[in-house]
Amino acid sequence: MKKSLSKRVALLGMLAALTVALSFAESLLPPLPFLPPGFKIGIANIAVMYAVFCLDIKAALSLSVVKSGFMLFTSGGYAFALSLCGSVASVLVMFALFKFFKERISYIAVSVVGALFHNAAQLCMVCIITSSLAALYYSPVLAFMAVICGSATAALTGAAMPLIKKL
Amino acid sequence: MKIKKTSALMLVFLIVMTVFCSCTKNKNTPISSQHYVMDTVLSQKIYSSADVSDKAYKALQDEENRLSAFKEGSEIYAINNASGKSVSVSKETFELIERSVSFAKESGYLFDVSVYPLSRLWKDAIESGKLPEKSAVSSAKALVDGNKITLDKQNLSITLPENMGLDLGAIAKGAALENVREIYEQNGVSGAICSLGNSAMLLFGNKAGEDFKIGLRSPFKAETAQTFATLSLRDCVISTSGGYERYTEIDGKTYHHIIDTKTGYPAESDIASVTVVGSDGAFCDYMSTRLFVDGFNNAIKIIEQNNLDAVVVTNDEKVYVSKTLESRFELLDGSFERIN
Amino acid sequence: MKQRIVTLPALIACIALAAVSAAVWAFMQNGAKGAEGVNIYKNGKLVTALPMDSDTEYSVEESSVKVKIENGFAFISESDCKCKTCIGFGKLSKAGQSAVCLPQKVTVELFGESEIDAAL
Repeated sequence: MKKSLSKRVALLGMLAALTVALSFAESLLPPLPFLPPGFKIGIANIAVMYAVFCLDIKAALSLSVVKSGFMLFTSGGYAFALSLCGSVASVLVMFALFKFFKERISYIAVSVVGALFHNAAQLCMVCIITSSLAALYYSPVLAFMAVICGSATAALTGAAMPLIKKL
Repeated sequence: MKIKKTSALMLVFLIVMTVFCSCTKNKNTPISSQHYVMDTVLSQKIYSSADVSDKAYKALQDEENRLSAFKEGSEIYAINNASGKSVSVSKETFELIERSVSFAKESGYLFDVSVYPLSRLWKDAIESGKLPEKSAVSSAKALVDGNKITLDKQNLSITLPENMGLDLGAIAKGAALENVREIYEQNGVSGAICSLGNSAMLLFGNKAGEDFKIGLRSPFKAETAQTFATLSLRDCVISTSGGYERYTEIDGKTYHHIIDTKTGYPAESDIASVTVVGSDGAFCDYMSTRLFVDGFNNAIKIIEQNNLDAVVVTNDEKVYVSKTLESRFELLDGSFERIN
Repeated sequence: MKQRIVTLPALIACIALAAVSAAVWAFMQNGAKGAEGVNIYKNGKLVTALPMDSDTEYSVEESSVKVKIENGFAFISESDCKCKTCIGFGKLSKAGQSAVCLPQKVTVELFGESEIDAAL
């Protein structure tokens, strides 16, 4: 979808603001009891997902950087690294799915697979940093959350899509 | 088509996930058991289809009934209460006492199994919480003299002068582990680790024949049993001696259970703990006790002269590891300093 | 053809995945035994092993992390890292569970069977 440059910049700016706002809202939430701490539900991904579906990969990746960069200030260096790692991995996978399947694949499939890879990438990073496989113990929880949150993000993005298009 | 594709992908993912989860779980489980015998915990981990842990436990119970100085009906009890008469004992008991006497001579009587009068005195002190009188200690000390043990090999009998007594506590557990080893071997055990108080016996290695990892407890944080180092070993016996194992506080001062036969009081050593590794249980048990009482400088001399495998920790957190154990030793706690 | 939000195959796959993950987790939690001890690692290296039945507080060397064992629970009690995620792991008591402090590279892992076979 081609837009004029200024419209694109404006849209990206708005999405960036959206993602930061959502990330901030999420950081205010207390850690959920069944989730390993440090793992968020990812509402901020809505903006990134929109970029994946309606814009190009550069836009999506830049939004990921903004989202993770914000975490640098709220939660510190390691949170930033993990967030970036997960986001980049999921964006790349989601784009690959898009390219391959084009319109045949549903939002929910892309979103859930993206969420799965996001969590898997983060888990791997934790293992690398701590030089231990202990964290893999929590993989079932993360897989479950990926399905739930991926679905929710897909639904929200699908609902918000027509609204954003009008802008 | 789509359903098949996504299902296949999902299945692959699940398999990968399950494999990851099982990585965090542990493999090969030994038969583990714990019993209380010889005034301490007997802990066994056996890699075998046969459950011989009860056999081992019973054997140790029998040994305790035979050798405990404090159990009425034991052979040692009979010797100690014979008022100077000779007492016939079983072959095993005789052989153990015989070995103990030669260890005692070799150590210049730093290790002495005729220590019963003193060990009895201090056992009572620990139980009552009262320090023994100096006079009581002196008279007990006078009754400790390994030279006065008479061994009659022909008749398998032991004679002690009246009021003297034997206490095999410092060597019994090590000797007992040799019995356990025999039981394991007779029953085709392919690998096992058996710990009895402060001594442990390793038979072959663990699963897949790997070395066992033995944790050495920090003598300075005894209550929390923190390990300060590990030794990777197989097919041997390990014995540790240190004041931190059994002690009591009376009037604000600490009294541990290793008695210095020369003073009559718990040994005041600059060694916090010493660990000896060897092929014979009784020897390791004896040597670790003896080295502890002897103090750091003498201990190092003996270790080096006799090419012993040992680890010595001093009271100021310095660690000495004999050359032979170097490759098997790993220091975990940085607050300890290696001397050599 | 317009892109759809949800398709039937995708929905089925998601529900199945969620169900299987939940089942695996339930199975893991159910079979999970109470931990016998705690392995503490720094930079991937084992620095000590502590028993669960002895209340203590251990300061991991070369870090600001303190691990506490209290009443059968092990947890990271202190850390001067920015995110305090490690403390958020809460009190652990089952074999297999772990707590991690990333900036300090400390891993606290509860075990039912130890890396250490016996302690003297």
